[in-house]
Amino acid sequence: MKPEMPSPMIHFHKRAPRVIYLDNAATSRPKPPEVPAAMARFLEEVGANPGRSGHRLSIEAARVVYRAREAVAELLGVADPLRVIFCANATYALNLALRGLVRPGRHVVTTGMEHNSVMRPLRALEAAGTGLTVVDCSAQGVLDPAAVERALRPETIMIVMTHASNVVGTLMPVKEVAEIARAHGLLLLVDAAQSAGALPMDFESSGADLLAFTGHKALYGPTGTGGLLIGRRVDLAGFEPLTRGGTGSDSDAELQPEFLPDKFESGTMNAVGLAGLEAGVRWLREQGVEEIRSREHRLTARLLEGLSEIRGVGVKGTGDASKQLPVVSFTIAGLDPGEIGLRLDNEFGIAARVGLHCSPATHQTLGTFPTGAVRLSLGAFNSASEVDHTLRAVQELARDADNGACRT
Amino acid sequence: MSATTYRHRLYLVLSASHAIKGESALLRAGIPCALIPAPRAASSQCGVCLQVGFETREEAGDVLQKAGVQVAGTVDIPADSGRAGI
Repeated sequence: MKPEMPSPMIHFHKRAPRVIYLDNAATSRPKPPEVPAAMARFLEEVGANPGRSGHRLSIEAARVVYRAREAVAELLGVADPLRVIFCANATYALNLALRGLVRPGRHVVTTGMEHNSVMRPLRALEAAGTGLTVVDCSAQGVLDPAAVERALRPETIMIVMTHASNVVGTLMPVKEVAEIARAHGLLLLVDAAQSAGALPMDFESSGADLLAFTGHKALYGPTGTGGLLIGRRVDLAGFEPLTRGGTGSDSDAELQPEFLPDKFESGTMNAVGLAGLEAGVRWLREQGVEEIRSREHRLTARLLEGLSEIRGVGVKGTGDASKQLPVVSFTIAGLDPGEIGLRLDNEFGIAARVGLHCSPATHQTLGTFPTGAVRLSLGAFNSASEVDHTLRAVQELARDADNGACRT
Repeated sequence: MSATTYRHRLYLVLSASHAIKGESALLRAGIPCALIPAPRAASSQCGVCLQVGFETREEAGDVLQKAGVQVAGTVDIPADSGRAGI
């Protein structure tokens, strides 16, 4: 007889009977109840392959996918929903844009605040013969747009930058960089993994040519959803897909279709995930992006202020809630971030993310490489009392560290 | 010999995404339509096409064009074809 698997039950400290989830920059939690309901409804009532057959269930599945496209387009300010390309996540979308458009011999400019979803494909392109310049940011993570302009070369084809840091939430000067990109005839690719849904956004007037988003963070959809917005300045003929295959269209041809979105959407779509994404986006619009942003801003300011008053705590980034998303990173003198994360979880029921957050470049900029930091990231469902509980927890850890009582 | 009378026009589109986009645009414009399997002889595209009443064909064409739906062709269905309609 096979031994039973251990129970997945999670044990929490008595003082913290439930999880205070402050890891929304990794993925938002909880999801609005409409999200799992929409996914269950798709599986139970539709469950067919979108765009592959002419029967009513397949057509309904295609409607579900299209409604998700429309919802994302409306929220992010895209005039044509068919320019919303769905894929598994922002990382795939960034790889699609970079590997699809950048060729050896050309040059790309990026910043010192990027996630590895940007840096790794760029480093791979660099190894294959593409020029790459990483523009330094200040120790607070602030980018000077003039430094981007100075980094341009005659062979530069693209500027790639995050909209908001995944480590400290810093909002980057996308508008100013977009003006530089336009002035020099360059493409601007924006990594909006953290910001899509967290801020009011209008892709068409943003100056960005390509924007990668994920569905499972501030859009409140499920994991496995994301996409790339493709602007009208992008030359589709010179844009190679990452994958080729069945699209349900042009079925008599063995060459990939050239039209959108099929050119970049081979293989069966994650229709159940997109059903959830549409529900998440609809929920977000009902709540109001600005309303949630305002609430998160107040909580972020409360968190930043409280952390900055704790002896031994070093808050990274600008420390100004109006210049960032609700993503806050800090260190405690004398305590390893991993130890802090473990104690926050075990003793206080607080889910944080520690380490380098897949962003070694950012941590080098902030001066926290290679040790990393503790990241607290808020979402629409966090409360002031949760922030206060977290501040008391950090205060206790800092006091222990100050007294030499920690276990490091 | 009497002139052929038509009951429907089928708009053949590039893909299911274009079909759903077209359906959405037509319904918003108040034009009844249906997504139906495309006649194989007429299209190798996505397998579905948009069917509208013959009397609304021109208005429907304008709506599809304005919505940016890429139409790959049209097929007019005679009234006596025996095809089910909207």
